[in-house]
Amino acid sequence: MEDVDRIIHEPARLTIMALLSGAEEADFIFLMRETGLTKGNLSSHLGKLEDAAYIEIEKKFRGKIPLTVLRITPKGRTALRSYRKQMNSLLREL
Amino acid sequence: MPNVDKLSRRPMEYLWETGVAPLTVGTAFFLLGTADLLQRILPQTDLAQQGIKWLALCFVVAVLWGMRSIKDRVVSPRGGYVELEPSQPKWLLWIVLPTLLVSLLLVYALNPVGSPPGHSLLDNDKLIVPGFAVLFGVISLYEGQKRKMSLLLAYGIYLICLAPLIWWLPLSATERFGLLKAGTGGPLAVFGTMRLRAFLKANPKPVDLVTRG
Repeated sequence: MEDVDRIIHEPARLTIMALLSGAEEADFIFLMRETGLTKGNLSSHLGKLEDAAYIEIEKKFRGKIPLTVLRITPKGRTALRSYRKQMNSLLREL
Repeated sequence: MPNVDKLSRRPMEYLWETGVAPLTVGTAFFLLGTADLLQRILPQTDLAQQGIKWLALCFVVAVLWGMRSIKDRVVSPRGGYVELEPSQPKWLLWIVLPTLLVSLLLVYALNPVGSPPGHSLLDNDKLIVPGFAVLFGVISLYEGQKRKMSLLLAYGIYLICLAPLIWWLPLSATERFGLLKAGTGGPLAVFGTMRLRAFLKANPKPVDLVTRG
């Protein structure tokens, strides 16, 4: 259990990673809507995922509207895949 | 624990929920099919016959551009912006390849090697297009049953019911394909419009965007 990736193991962050794994990119509004997290809470989780280089955050404008676009990185995909493998084997052992 | 597989399917489901994807695909198919059907009533000149095809293509491009604009300006500020990965290898593997394989088998089954001209089923092309309608219908039924989507099941039944109509009507091969395209695209476009309307009703424009713009 000590080897489990603590960054992904947290349910909110796992939800974010799983959502982003199904898209090339998504914005902050989509994640907020799908996760049900508040702006501040979501920002904090995204910050942690960005620090681990599991996601990329790009801030841009569409016309006059600010847009925060998020993308899962190859490192993030690998981490999610190995986390799932790890959890599956752990659950089998139980 | 969150269901990772279910969550990773959400971006694609979201695009269908907003209605933009079915509306775009449905309208494009409907326009192309209608152009094929209109060729029958238009003068049999090159200008008219080719012109309607190019006109339909122009409309399809306009629809694609318009839908992109609706997605960016109307849908994304309300429900969020999502861009799917350009290629979906799994989707290609499980849907497109079997469809192509079954279509090829269908063609070979209907046109056995060595059959004299005029004697194979393919020569009168009456069964090929309805065959496609049945094939798409079966795929819709399978997917609808798998995803527990009653509307997709209804769409599958509709496509299977469309097949005898395509077979029965006295149309040319092009017109049959046109009827198939218009017949599959029309309901999809209506469904997309209804979905988009429901989505816009359920998700009013955010206040900060209203005041800003």
